[in-house]
Amino acid sequence: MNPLKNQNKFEDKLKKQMDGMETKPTDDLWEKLAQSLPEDAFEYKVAGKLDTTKITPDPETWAAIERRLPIAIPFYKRRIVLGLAAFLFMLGFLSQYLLQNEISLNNNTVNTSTTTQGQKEKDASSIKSNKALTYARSKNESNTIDADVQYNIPQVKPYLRNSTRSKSAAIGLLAEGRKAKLAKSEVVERIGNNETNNAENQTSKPNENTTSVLQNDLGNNVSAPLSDKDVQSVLKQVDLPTTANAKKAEKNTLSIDSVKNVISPIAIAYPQAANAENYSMPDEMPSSNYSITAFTGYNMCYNHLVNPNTTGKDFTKNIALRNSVEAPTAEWTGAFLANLHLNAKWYLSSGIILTNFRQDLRFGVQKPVNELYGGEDNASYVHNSDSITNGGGQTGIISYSFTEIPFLVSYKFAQKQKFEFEVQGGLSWGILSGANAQMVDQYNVGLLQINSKTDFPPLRNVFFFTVQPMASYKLNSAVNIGVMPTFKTSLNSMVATPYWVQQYPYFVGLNVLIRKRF
Amino acid sequence: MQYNEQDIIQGCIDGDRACQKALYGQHASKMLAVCMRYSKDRAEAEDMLQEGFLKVFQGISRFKGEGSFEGWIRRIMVFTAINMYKHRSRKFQEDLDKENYDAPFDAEIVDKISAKEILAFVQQMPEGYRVIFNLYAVEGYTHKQISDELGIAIGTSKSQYSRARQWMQQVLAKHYHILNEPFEEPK
Repeated sequence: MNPLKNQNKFEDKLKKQMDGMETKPTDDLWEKLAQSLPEDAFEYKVAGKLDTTKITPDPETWAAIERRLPIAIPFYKRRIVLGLAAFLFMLGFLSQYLLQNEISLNNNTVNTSTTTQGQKEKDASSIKSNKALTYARSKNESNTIDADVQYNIPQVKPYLRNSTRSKSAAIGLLAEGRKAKLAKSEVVERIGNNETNNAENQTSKPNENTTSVLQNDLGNNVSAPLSDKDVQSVLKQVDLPTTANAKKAEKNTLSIDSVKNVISPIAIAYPQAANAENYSMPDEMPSSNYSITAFTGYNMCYNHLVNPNTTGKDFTKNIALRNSVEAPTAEWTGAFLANLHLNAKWYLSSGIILTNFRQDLRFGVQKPVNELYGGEDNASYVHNSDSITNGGGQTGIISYSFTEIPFLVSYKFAQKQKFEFEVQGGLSWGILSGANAQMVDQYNVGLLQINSKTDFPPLRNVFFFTVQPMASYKLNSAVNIGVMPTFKTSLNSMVATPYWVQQYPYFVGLNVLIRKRF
Repeated sequence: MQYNEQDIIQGCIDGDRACQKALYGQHASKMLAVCMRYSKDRAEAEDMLQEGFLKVFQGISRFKGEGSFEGWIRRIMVFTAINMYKHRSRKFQEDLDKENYDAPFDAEIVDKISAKEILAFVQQMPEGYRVIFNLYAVEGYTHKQISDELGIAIGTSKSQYSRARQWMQQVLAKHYHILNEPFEEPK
């Protein structure tokens, strides 16, 4: 039995019942309805006639619309651009990840290569600090080994000194209070085991294996130098097998000094580790890939006025007058940026920048020649018919606010002790978020008041190109403060109509910044 | 190239100029007729059409496919007309010929006059009458909606419409009678 079929049956029955149902409306409902209906069919007939009318517009109308339509980037092109941006972003992350991973792998590499005697000598001669650790027991001792049995730590990797990750790892261990003590007993234990094995099989090459064990432990765990006491305890704990070649072993003595020689590179790599309790982060200690920057300052605001080339109108006089009456003024700017450090030199930034544009308008007025606008002399405001002139006691303001979404690339080109020198540049999408401006009319008669993007002349958002060199001082490993001269210019006109003077705002300013790296 | 409506809409959203032109080509004639009803002459109507289509292209991504696309464009044209009217001086007419205010009108006369002639009379209407007449009689707005849109009292809308209606009937009747007067040969 199909429950759906049943339900349908039910619905059908219900519908049948409802369809046939009639309810008589109250008597006065029609009267009310009739009152709101027109007395005759006049409206219906007129609407019917007019609704079907079609009138072909003049071809010039489309041309005018087309001129005013913005040149939009087709969606598929936008997708390409966005895809490319996303790809580059991912590439940045990936390269950063791989870079980190490579360093990490290097640090964790266990040198399992066979170290021959010849190589050992070569290592010993080339890297002073990487002396082979050779020891044996005297013939009087119960536990002796073959003189050939040498326990080498030939390559305490030089990269330990360079590697940032291993330092971090070591510091991490320190911070956890482990202080590297764990490694020492483990080293001893493993040496003992290996020696036992070697003694049992004297024909083998005993020095092939131990290197890797100790190296690995050193590379990963040891972050504090061994004391004399530690070394002695090592010697005591090593339970070396007895061999018949004890005499040969005399010359291969494991002394405290030789152990120290092995450990010394680590001490070089971690000079602070000797006093782990008082350890503080060294200046060159890198941190995460992220940082934030806040900057604020003042820009001098200029406007580059250009005659539109899409119309036959000549705005030359208007531009000349505007250039003479519009005076650049300093105005506040501020930003909050998040930075992604790709490596030691490059980083990307994005966030929000608030840029304000302000100019003073200083002008005079000349009343119209004819008497049509009589009575203006006592007026305290500019009439639409007044001619605007250069010089005079009248003032006004030109103020725009932009909220920028930037994409900036920074490059650190020099670093001297505590100072860093960088240059930052890129594009930003400047959203015109406010307008309070007066503008001289195209015939230099009267002022236009602009309070929004849609007022005349209509305004629009702009792309800015920014370049800003930066000099900063490192307060500590994480915080920089600095100064940043800025040059910023719009790449497109902020006037949205091609029938008006095109204006390209640009800024020259100085900012102070603070950057915190995490 | 032939486009269907969906392709055109998507193309316009993407800023495809060919699709924008196709959309314009499809609807411009009808919309110009709408604009003509709200304007005093063709030049003003074409300005209105231009503004309206710019708004259509700017806001086409907001069309959700609910209802007729043509209706959506038409509403934009009407709102454009209302806005233009609001920005001009708004004068409601009081100079109706009182003598003929209550004169009876035969609605059949409308059938006998062409749409273009009626449109020409609508354009000749005083501006205040014209907007309210169009909104009420042709677009089907209620007086409440008209009062909201124009920012006037409902009573004003009603009274203006009543006068506009009377004005139109008077003009149509006059026109019809002139056309149908028996020709008398001069003696």
